[in-house]
Amino acid sequence: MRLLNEIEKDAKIFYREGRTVTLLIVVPIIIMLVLSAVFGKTTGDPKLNIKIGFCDLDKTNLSKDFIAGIETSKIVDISDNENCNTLAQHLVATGKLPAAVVLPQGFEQGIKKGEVQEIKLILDNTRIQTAPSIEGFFKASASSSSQRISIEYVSVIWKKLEEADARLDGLKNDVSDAKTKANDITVKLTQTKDQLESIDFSIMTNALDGASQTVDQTVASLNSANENLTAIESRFANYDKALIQSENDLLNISILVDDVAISVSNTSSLLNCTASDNASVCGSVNAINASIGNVKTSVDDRLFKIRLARQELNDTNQTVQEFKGRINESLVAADNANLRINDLNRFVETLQENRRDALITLNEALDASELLLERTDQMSSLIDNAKQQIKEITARRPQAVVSPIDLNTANVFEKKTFFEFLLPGLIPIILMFLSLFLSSTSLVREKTAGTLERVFISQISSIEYTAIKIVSYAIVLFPQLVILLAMASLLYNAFSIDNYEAISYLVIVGVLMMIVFNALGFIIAAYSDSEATAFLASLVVGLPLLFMSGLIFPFDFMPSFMANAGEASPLSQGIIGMQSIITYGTANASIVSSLFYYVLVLNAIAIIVIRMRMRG
Amino acid sequence: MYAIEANDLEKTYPKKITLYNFSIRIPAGEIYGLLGPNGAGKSTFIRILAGLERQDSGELKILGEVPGKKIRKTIGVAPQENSFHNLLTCFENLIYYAELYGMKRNESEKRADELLDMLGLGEKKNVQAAWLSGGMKRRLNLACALMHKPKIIILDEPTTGLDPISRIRMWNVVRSIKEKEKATILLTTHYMEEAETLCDQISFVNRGHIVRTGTPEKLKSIIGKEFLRVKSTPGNYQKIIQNIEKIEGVKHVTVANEELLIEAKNAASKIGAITRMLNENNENIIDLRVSQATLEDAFIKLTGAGLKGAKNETTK
Repeated sequence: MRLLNEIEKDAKIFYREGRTVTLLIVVPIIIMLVLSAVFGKTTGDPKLNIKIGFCDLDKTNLSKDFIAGIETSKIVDISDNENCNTLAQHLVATGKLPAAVVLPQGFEQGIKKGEVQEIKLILDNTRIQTAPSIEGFFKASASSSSQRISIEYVSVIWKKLEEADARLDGLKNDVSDAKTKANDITVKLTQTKDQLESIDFSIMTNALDGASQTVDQTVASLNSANENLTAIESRFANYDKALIQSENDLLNISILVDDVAISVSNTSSLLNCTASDNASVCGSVNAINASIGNVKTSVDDRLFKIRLARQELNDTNQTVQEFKGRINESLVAADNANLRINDLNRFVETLQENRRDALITLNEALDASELLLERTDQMSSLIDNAKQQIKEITARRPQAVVSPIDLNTANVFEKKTFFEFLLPGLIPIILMFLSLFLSSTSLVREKTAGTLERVFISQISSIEYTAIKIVSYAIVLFPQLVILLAMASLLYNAFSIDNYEAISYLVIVGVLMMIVFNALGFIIAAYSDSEATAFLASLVVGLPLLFMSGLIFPFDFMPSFMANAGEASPLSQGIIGMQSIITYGTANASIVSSLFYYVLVLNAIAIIVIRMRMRG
Repeated sequence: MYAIEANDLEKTYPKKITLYNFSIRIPAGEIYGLLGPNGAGKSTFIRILAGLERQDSGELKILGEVPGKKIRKTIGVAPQENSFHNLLTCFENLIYYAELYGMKRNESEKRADELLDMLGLGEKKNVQAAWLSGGMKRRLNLACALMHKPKIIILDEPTTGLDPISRIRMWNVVRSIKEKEKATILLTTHYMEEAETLCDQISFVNRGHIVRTGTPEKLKSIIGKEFLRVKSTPGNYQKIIQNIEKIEGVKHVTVANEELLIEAKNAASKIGAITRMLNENNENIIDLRVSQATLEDAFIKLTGAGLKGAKNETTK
């Protein structure tokens, strides 16, 4: 009964204020109509309907093509101005243009040289609604032009790759020839190696050893013979000496004989041998003389023989000397032979070393040859791979290389306007402000008029009264919700009028929101001493909630803690709820429970605060 | 049993004591006046009675019971400011407040008609309160407090802002309520005449406590029958008060509302002496009257302070 009484009273007061009622009915309609006109543009329109200044300092075909490629109907070309760069900056800085684009001098030439060209976008970033769109649009345009240039460049590369592929075919043949040759070399090297390895140096070394031994033996024999000859020589010298002695003796004897003969002759002469007395003597002397003559002859003979012997001895000695000379020559020859044998040995050793080196070199050459073969195989394989890669690369279209990902936007709600997306957010916002303003200012008015005090003097408890009052205002404002939903359905086709499930959900969300913001308005009213204070405090509460609702600034652009707080706010919950059914067609049940928690918590706070403030 | 009985009530707000040692006993069935200047504590006491505030200490009983939800039904408060909804009609306002006390609709409608007739608002039954005259609004304000047939009716300055005719009409209404409703009426006012005319008993309230209680006659007798009121410029009274008190027959001299209040036996005979003394002290007399004793005079005597806004109405 008390609830009905309060509703009846509030409704009468509310609806008897003609201007307020008119405003409350008309304002939401006007807001919706104005916003639907303002945001009536269909989404997904690729054209940029914003005035943009262009300063083309290059004035080449490429720069003109770039400007022509910009899909905007409002180009302000200031390229004819000498200082168009400065002018562009000035126009944007003074707010006459939202943005201007400056294409640098040498734009086309630089691109042809492969240099990165910088297009300057002068942007008025205070225009937070349009600035990101303009920047995004020009990034897309620059990207599109870059793609076109890149495709041309890639096409040239493709052609060069195809030429390289042909060259690789020639290279592959060369590699194949090289491989054949390397195989031949390997065979030959192997043969050479085998031949070298088959050389038996032991025969030579053995022969040389044998020769050396023979020479040594010869030298030994020669030395022995030489010694013997030396001994013979020595003996010959002794013999010679003895012969000389004998000769000298014989000479002395001969002299003596001669002397004797002379003496005998003298004696015989002195003897007149004619005289016979002397005859015996003479006969003896004659005999002696004859004997002496014999002796002399014998001595001479002997002397002759000795001299002959000496001569023979000399001759023999000469022969010995010659022999010795020959032996010495033989020894020298043997030494030479030894030297030669040694030289030969060294030669053989050198040969062996050379063979070893040769074998090492051959092995290395073989290894190299095998490596060469391996490398030729690898190279061949690489060439095949390179060819395959070239084939794979050139099989792709230049377009696919430059921009392999082609964004194909599929707008799920293709023909919808911005306003239709805004609508599910607009209804909760209008409900929020209506509820906040109505509940806070009305309660403050009751407070200042003393009617609230009179209520608290009565038997009704502050808990009961606050709860009744919050619900009462929600019911009084219910027609506003009906008007908003009816407009959404009938004017903007947000949902079908016979979709009772959707309507039920929207009504529940709307009513819960009104109760939540009525409670919030009550809390504001409890601390406000005038309607102006309540109104301003409602704005202080409502505006941050509006900015945090994700409708004006997306949650994604906010710091995470603000985004979380914003998303959890009752307004955002209401918006999400309305969006779930109006935009996406599926009711989000969790929103109802979330708003219900807000109803409980904020009503509890409102009751406590009102009780504290009114009961003193 | 007293309708209202308060013993040593104390109520303190931050940096301000509003009530202390506030004791009062209001007999049932009487019109009881609380008389005092603004800020004396009258409204605080009423707020405590109405259950809008709680005393810090002291005892309060209403009809022998401690105030609570149940006892609130026995009290009807007509606040100082008109407290009803201007956009509702007189009848709708009354029905609304009646239902806050759980009255049934048919009962409340009957009671509303009865009260509207009694308070002279029958013809304005279906007129929005905003369109009523000041006096009618005060009566409607009173009617709202009477809808649930309270046993104790608190009228907080019921005639403030009304013209003399409306005020007299309101007095008649209050008298008829006492007669018809058989209720106890606690009336706060700073109009001496109103208190004197309506109240069976009056308590002077000043600075948060009861200064004196009694019938109007008893209170007036505190200062005798007549006295002199003198107003002069520049009004340096303090230095001549002692001299005036030395004049033979002068009982008491106080300063209130920028006037000298001289209580004296056969006051008119003292005019010559007092005039001379003022002239000697370079005081230029601009007003001099011989007055009958009023409640305000008694109040001034007891508290040393005047009742702001009550002067014109209490002068005879």
